[in-house]
Amino acid sequence: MLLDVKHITKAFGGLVAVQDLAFTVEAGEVIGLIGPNGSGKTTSFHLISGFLTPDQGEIEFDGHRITGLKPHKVCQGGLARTFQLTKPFAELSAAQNVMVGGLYGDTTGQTTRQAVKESEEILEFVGLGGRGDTPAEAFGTVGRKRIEIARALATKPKMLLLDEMMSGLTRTEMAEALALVRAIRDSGVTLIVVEHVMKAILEISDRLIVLHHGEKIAEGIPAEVLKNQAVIEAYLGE
Amino acid sequence: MSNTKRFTISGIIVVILLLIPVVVSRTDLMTWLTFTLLYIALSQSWNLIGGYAGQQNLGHAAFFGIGALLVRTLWLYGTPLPLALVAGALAAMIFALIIGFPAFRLKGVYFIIGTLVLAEILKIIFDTILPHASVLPSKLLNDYSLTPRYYLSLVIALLAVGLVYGISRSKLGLGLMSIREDEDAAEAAGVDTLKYKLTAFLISTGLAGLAGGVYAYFAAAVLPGHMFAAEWTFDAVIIVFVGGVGTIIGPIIGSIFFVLLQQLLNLFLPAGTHVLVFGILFIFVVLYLPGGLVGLIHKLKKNAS
Repeated sequence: MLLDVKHITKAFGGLVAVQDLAFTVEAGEVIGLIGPNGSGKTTSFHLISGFLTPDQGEIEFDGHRITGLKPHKVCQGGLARTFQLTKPFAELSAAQNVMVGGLYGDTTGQTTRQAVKESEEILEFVGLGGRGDTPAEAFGTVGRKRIEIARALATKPKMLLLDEMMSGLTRTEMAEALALVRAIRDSGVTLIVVEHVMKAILEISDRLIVLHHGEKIAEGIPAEVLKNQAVIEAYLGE
Repeated sequence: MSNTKRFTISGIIVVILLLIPVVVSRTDLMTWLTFTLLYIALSQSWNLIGGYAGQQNLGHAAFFGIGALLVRTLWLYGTPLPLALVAGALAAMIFALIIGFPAFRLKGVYFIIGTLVLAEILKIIFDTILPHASVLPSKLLNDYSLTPRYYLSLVIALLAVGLVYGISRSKLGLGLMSIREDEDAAEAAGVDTLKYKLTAFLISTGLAGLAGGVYAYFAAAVLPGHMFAAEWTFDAVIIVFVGGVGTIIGPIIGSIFFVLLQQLLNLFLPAGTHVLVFGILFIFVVLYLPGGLVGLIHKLKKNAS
């Protein structure tokens, strides 16, 4: 078991964003985290990646308790993430963006020279080969999302949390993005994917976890979960 | 520009700077040059925390003042100047360490206001407890020569430029720039943002303390409160933005431009009104020329080719 989320709860004032959420992820899986707007998906990502601390409950990753650790510690421990609204280092080049992940997130102690070389390989892998010198701000939505994934991959994660990488993409771009997600999985990285685009998430997920009002209402293989009465009600209303 | 070419040019400039006191004997010119070098050191030190790490510290005068006051006091009580300078830099860094932890809990505009208030508090304190000007004793005044002042400013300016240049090209520099660009993304990529902000803050304030020490050695007479005056901060900030924020050459060009324009304005305008002109210039640069003079030069070069 790679990730063990043990009954975490997070409230903002009176609003309970995540309630008693528990699930586990095995190494090699692709987990789809779905639910209507405001169901607690992004809050869950913030909690797992250390940007928020749960009010109750514990999170274990790779055999270590990571509850309350700062985000950079979680990242160095092998759990990387991307952001729903991409956050590239705008004025830095694509290669420098990736090098930050390699030099700071990867704890094997890369030299700058190694980080430069690796940034080229990783940019190639995400489909931005040869564009390392371009400033991140010069890229469009797709490019920025890829830079962000490349930066996360440079930290050598065991697990990657992808937050809505399909939103705002065209049909062709989405097909490419799906291919990239498969390639990341095939490289041995476990994935949790938050996605609104249902078609995309059904195609790549081994297992779905459905959130509604901060609570887990269903879990299982995609075909079964979609037949679940509670899930249908959550999405379509009663 | 290739590295070899860059180093050759830098070498030639340093040699010229070393020879200047031998050739130049006009005291007004030597004073301006000394001040230009002092401003290069001070603005480059601010550039590290404000330009590279993106933490707009408006309390820089506090660290300049601590360095200046301690160096002045130790030196006048007979401590050798180099030792006094080291003590001044260390004192500024220790103060930075004490206020760094709470200050960096503040983000954005709160950090800016917090640091500004801090420096003003120190100024008020020293205006109150040390209201009299510190004047050099007559023995030192009789022997006063600008040449050692010039050389000290040169050494500290070279130290500041060299240090910030080295950092800008290192792993630390990349980490600082990532924090400037997006602190959350930097954390998510494994950067210990608090640790590196503090590191940059310590180096920056240590250099500011040294610059203060140079001023302490330079000034024939000075009010202790003046060492903490907000203009030390704002001069540095204006120089960095006008020259080119987050670049090595920006604070150098900015300092030369600043001192030249300051002297020119003082010829035609009542003393002190240069502040008004620089204020307007600052607003203009921030709004219409975010890359400063360095950015403008790059743009013109691009258009020419």
